[in-house]
Amino acid sequence: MQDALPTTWFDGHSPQGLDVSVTLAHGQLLVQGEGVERTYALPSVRWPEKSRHGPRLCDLPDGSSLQHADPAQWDEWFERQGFCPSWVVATTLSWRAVMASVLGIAVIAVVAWRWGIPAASEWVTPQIPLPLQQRIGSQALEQIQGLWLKPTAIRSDEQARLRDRFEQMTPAAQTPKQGLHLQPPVPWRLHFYKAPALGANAFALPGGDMVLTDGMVELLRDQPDALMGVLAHELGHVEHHHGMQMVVKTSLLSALVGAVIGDAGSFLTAIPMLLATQGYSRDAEREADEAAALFLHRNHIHPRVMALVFERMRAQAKAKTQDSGTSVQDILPIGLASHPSDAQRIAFFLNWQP
Amino acid sequence: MQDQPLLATADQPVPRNQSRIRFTGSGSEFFRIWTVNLLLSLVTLTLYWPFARARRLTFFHNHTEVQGHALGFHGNPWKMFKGHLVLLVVGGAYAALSYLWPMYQWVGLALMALVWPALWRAALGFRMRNTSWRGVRFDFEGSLPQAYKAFLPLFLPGIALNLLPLWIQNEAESVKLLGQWTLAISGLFMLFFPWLLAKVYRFQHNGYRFAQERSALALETPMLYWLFLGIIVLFIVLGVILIGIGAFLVKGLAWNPKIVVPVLGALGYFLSFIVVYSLAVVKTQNWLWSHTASAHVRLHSDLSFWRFFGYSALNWLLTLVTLGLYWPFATVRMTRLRLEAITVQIDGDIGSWVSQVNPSSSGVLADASGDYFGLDMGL
Repeated sequence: MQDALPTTWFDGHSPQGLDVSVTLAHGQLLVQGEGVERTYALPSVRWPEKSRHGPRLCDLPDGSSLQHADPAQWDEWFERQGFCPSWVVATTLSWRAVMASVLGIAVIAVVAWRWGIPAASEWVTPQIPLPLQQRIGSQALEQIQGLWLKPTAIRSDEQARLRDRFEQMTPAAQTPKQGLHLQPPVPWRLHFYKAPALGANAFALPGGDMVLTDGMVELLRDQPDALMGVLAHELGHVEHHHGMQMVVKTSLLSALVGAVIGDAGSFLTAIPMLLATQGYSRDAEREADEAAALFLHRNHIHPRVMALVFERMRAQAKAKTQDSGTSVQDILPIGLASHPSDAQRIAFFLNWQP
Repeated sequence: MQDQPLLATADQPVPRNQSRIRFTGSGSEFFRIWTVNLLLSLVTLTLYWPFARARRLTFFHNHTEVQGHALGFHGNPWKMFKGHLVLLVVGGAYAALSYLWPMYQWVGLALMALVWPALWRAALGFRMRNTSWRGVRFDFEGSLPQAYKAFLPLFLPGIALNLLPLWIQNEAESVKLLGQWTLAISGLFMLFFPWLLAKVYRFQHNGYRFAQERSALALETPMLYWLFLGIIVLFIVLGVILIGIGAFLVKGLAWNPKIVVPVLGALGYFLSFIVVYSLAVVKTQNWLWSHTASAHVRLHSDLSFWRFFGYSALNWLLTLVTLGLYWPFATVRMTRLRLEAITVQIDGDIGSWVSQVNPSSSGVLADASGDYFGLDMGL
């Protein structure tokens, strides 16, 4: 009865406050004022969080509430009653603990990005049934078709020759004994398209669709081995489920970024998303390059033929840049590159050892 | 917490109390709450979210002082937790549907259109019933049919756009037709958008209740048309200025266009985003709140565009530079700016008001859905 706190009580129906005094006795909260005398069991009282500023609003179970304007006075009284802040509130109140939390968030984000998400997608992706992957792939292909792809101008006998040769080479590369390729091998389908906007290019989609542009076939017409290497690179993407993994990784990543800075709006989330996914696709390219090198080696072709691909593509890109004047690549050279640098990849193929 | 200015005796004239809202929260305090919330949300794989939300809302409510009395937040985090779980499942299902079977996205959208108005109304109701001032809970009284009338027209164009490709063949002529239809529907939607938005605002601001006071919005639809026109003009002016500067630098001073063009482009993107965002927020807040009133309560908002714009630009920059760490400070600063622009005037003796609202709260889904759909209180 001694330690009473003079404060204001609102009954929940009238906006008119009432001066009361509050005491704690026998596990109960006593509110006493003019014409008011109420007791509340302690567990049913929702105590306010301690903070440096702001009033203290305390919810009582019958819908009424206590409001105290002087936070220091309330906190002193509260602590004199033997209460202490919960550990969450205690952490919030300590700058040292908050700084440790910032560090913790950074560590969690980096670990999740570098190891957590790749491991999760590695585990999730094979669980996704192949028909579903193929459906996703063919949907993507349909969308790209409308935008960038036109019917191919490559003669059908050349198409058949390339397809047959690649088909003959795959079994040799897919010997399971070295365990370097995922088993069982995924069925692949090779499509030819004319794509002026994409230049000399090749890409693989989830589910096993591979696209070769006319530009690429023309670029390497005199170097059939290198063209097989390009296809082997795409097959590497297919066998590693890179397309599907990218889908899974991007989803997980957007969930992570959303959790960290979700309330900051899409304007800000777009930038870290872009940077982080570029990191993943660099890893995927490296893996596909390794698969291509192994593929060529097992077909008794030295992977150094691939160096030519990069040199020719670079020469072509340079010629194009001079035509149009501006290139984003010149201004943002490394930071946003989705592929490892050409020099690195050339060196990889030149120095490749079985 | 004294009520002296409001205690009027019978023979005095009706007292009139007018004062600005005060926001007493500090950036550093919110930074600490935000950090701990974020860490716990990450560690618990977002399960802590509803609790984090309750703490965040309590912080902002308790630091908002209306005529010397802070707002209270009474949401029960465990109830919000159940809603969070349900919405994780529903949201996941919708995302999976739109990703795996985009052809059937219109089904999801149609379902969403059916559910959204009810959820939105429930969310606003939950928020209001869990917000109190001077111990009395607010309420939201917009009815369910009104909610559907306000929201359904907003969904029609989306559903139409998703249905269109279904009965159009994959040939050049049809694709062209599809393009024309898409353009026509989008254009029509843009034309009607301010009118549709006004309907939503009217639904929202006609439904607030505090004690016996029920709010009403006297907003004319043309105002929103003027705002949209203003935004379009602003876009064009910004574009012309930037192109002018670019042309001067490249042609007049012979600067390298390889650098000038992307830099000006990025600047233009950043500026137009912030300018348009600022204009929309400032005008909407001033119009909405200056035209919302009840029998004894009058509000007025005089948020300054230039201050809002300046603070926004600074906040975005600092948030980018500090890798997001400045975000809580930015939020507190913007909240203060927006809240302290509002003046509340109350006529008469508030002590005689009586509330009928029962302080028990509504369904589980209500609050979580508000956060999920980005419920905006216009503040």
